[in-house]
Amino acid sequence: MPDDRLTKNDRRDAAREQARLTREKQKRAENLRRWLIPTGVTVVVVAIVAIVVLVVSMSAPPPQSKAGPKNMISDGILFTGSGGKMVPTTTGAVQASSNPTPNDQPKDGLAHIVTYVDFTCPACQAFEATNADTLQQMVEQGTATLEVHPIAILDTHFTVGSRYSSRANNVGACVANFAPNSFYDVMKAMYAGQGKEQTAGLTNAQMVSIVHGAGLKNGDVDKCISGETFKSWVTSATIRSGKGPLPNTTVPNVAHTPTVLVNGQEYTGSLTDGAAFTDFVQQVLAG
Amino acid sequence: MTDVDIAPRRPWILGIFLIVAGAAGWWAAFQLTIDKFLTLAHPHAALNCNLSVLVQCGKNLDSWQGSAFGFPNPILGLGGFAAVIAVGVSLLAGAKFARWYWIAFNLGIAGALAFVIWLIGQSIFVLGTLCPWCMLVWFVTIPLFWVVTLRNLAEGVYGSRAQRVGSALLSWVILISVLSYLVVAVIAQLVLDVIHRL
Repeated sequence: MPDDRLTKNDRRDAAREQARLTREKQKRAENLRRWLIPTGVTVVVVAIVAIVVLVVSMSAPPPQSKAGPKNMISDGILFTGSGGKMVPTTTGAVQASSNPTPNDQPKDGLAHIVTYVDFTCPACQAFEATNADTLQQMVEQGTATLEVHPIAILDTHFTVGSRYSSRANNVGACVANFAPNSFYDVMKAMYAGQGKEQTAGLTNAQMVSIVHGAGLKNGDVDKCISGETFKSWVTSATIRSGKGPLPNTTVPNVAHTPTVLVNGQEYTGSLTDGAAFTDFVQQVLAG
Repeated sequence: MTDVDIAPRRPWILGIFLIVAGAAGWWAAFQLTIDKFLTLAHPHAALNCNLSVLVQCGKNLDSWQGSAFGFPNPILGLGGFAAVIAVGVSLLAGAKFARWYWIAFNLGIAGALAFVIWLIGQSIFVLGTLCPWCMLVWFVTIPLFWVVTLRNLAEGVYGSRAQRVGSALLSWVILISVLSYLVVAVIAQLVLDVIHRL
């Protein structure tokens, strides 16, 4: 339509419309600019964080800085029956920066029982209170082997900085290293004298007296407990079991304590029902 | 809006964000509710959220903190996140809300954030776990709070002086949310050494 055919009003409306469109366009451009810089900065920040995480995780995993305890080459201590007795298997130690060597589980009709436990875990205490004697009998009678892996997953359950879980499981390592024949008795005593969650737990001195109470008076063990000799092994063994893979089982990793495996099958029944556990063992043995 | 002759556009980004974030939060709450039922029916049930000592929800569900008000927390999420979705859908449909409505919505989300901050603290410092579905709830609640709060500031819900601050900050909302995540991640890393345990 030629301009001269438009009324004054029409022209004014057209001009207004034009101005409105321009303003809207400007506003959109301004909006875009307002969001452009923050978005750019965000992308940069995210990229930096990603790089930092990548670098930190590649500098990981922290290698075990010192040798672990003797008689725990698999990260656990293995008991077998011999002459009606429960006998710990003598082995070397997991060396610094090395990995554990798993024990073979032959298909010999025995129940190969592996437990991943934390000496400070109440559920482990319940399981042991119910089944520790049964387990011992089965091993003594030669129908089962028992491999105990102490791991420290509960430091956060006790007063910050007390590290009771790490220190308590170091006790297990100390006894395995210097006095493996006393391991089972000390473990039972550690459960019986277990510190309560949400407190600082027990001091090293208190744990030394628990060990003495269990009938083990050994200067090396006492020094090992107070000096937390196997600190780095406890940390590494805990990380290894938490990450998996676990040997001789399809259970990928330790997600909770106690994790109890019988010929690779996880016991998920009641921790306070001894009959349920022995039934489970029989069931696994029956295939 | 000062430019009266520009029709305010429908806040479709805000609407879609609320729907997506609300749906994600609702789904997480739903999964946690189902897992809670499972643990009640079978106390030793193997939950598929239990991946390791560190990454698991079983411990969180069993703890008293998991039922902070005497009933399982995820029930709150089932109700609350449905409300977030409803607001988002209403905005897409062109709804206009009164000032008090935006204030109430903001208060609700601030309450949710306060609860989430407490739960994050309990999970990291007391339980020593990172619970996957719980983390999804943290993940959506944090930006929900920032987006709704800054949107309200920028739209003048809290007065004209706050409006200037709000519109300046609103465009930085993604960075603000990312930095909030970063604070949580750094605390989790320092306390739980997440990187070395995954």
